[in-house]
Amino acid sequence: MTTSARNPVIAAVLVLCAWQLATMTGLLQFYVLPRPTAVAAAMVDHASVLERHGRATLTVAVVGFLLGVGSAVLVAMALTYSRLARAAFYPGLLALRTLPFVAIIPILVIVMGTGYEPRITICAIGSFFVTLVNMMRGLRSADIEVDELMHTLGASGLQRLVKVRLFASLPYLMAALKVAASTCVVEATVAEWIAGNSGLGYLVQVSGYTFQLDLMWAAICVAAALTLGLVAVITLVERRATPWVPRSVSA
Amino acid sequence: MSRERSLARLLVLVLPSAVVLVLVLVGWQLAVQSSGVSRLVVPTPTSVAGSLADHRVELWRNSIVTLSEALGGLLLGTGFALLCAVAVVYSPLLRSSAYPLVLAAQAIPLVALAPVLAIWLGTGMLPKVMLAAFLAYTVTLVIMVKGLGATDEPTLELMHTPHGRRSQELFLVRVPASLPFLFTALKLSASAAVVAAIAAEYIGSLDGLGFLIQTSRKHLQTDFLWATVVVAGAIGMASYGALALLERRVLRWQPDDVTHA
Repeated sequence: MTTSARNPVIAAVLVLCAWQLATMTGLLQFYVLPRPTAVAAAMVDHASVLERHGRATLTVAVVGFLLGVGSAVLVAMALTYSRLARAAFYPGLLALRTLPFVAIIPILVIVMGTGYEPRITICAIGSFFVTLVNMMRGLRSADIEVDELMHTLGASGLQRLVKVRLFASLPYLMAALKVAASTCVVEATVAEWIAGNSGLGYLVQVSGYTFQLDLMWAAICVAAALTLGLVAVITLVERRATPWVPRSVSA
Repeated sequence: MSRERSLARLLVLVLPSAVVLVLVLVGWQLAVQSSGVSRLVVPTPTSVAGSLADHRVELWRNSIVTLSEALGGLLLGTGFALLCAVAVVYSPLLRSSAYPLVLAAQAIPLVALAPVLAIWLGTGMLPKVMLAAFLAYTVTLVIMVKGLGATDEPTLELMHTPHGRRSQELFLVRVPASLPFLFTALKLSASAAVVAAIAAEYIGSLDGLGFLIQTSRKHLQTDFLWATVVVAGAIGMASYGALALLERRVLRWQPDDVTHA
């Protein structure tokens, strides 16, 4: 293990030990915080339940993420390509970005029902705005001289958009993807509180109502693990996709 | 720049968006009226506006609740994060041990802790303030550690001459360098705090916009639901806009299109 990884691990172990000791000595009651060992036991005991609900949340988050990111890239390219479209839509989109998206979940539920659709939609909306703003900045970050050279060499507008601007925006896209991945899990979870009969958010709420706090914490831990897993996958993709970006800067 | 030219520029900036907004609202009104969709599913813009006017007292009162929760959390979280950021910048031990845990915590869906906070702290304003504070804290700490480190080396070295003190280095070099980062952190935290307050109100509360959203949904008052969402949106926009304006005022030397994160 490298030195850089050792210290945080020691710190994490210390926190867990202090937590366990505090609960064992009665300093913290179980309804305040269940013991780490009890949470671990709940994870094993309820593995199948956690897997089923985790799968639901993961599906919602990933599908929403892909839809949102995909449409954001397309819209950003269109807005960069057409000045009129940018003038007409971009200020409105920037304003919409500041809306608290959790507020519109109930509206989506009324329109779409309590299935996967409203949950996927809210995840898509969240990752759309995160990605859009970064992509607009990324597409504009392209080297103008390269763009002009391509123009001189007879490249079409579309070619320049893809080969110069889209390429230049990759590091910005990767940064957005990491933020979008964690927002997606949050939004999926909140949507599951409001509507749904599956997912980790639903499980957190139901186990809270029935006072199964070890299961509740286990579900929260699974949600955290999902987020960290998604971010880790994106970091791997990032290393592959943009090997020229110095890692210490983008981290 | 002459006044007329800046007015013309403003018009060019605002006009296309205004046209789009009007088209969307008119299209929506006509689409709902002609398609025969139930008003319980999608209300018309005019009925939402009517509901806004009818419920203005209730909306105002509950907005104040949500706003105070978000603002309290923002101040608490940001203040504590600023202290911790200074500690992390000056202590290599903290930077190598505790700080990575905060970085990891940033990826955790903190909003999922709302039910836990409701169990700990009940259904009053406190759990909402705490959730907003958690979110503001993680966002601000990470950005400010970067900000306090965003100094240029020669200036730092200058402060290390025999008469330079640690406090001077902090307040004369590091804090001014971190100001643009602080505004980025504040803007992000403000949106997150509003989201946290509303999300926590969904879980358990007797007032606030999140409570209104939940009850109007259960009572099928769809136009009132939309009106509440419009108010929530306005709060989100206003808090972001106010901070952006303040940023422009305070950081005059910054070009417009720079963000630090």
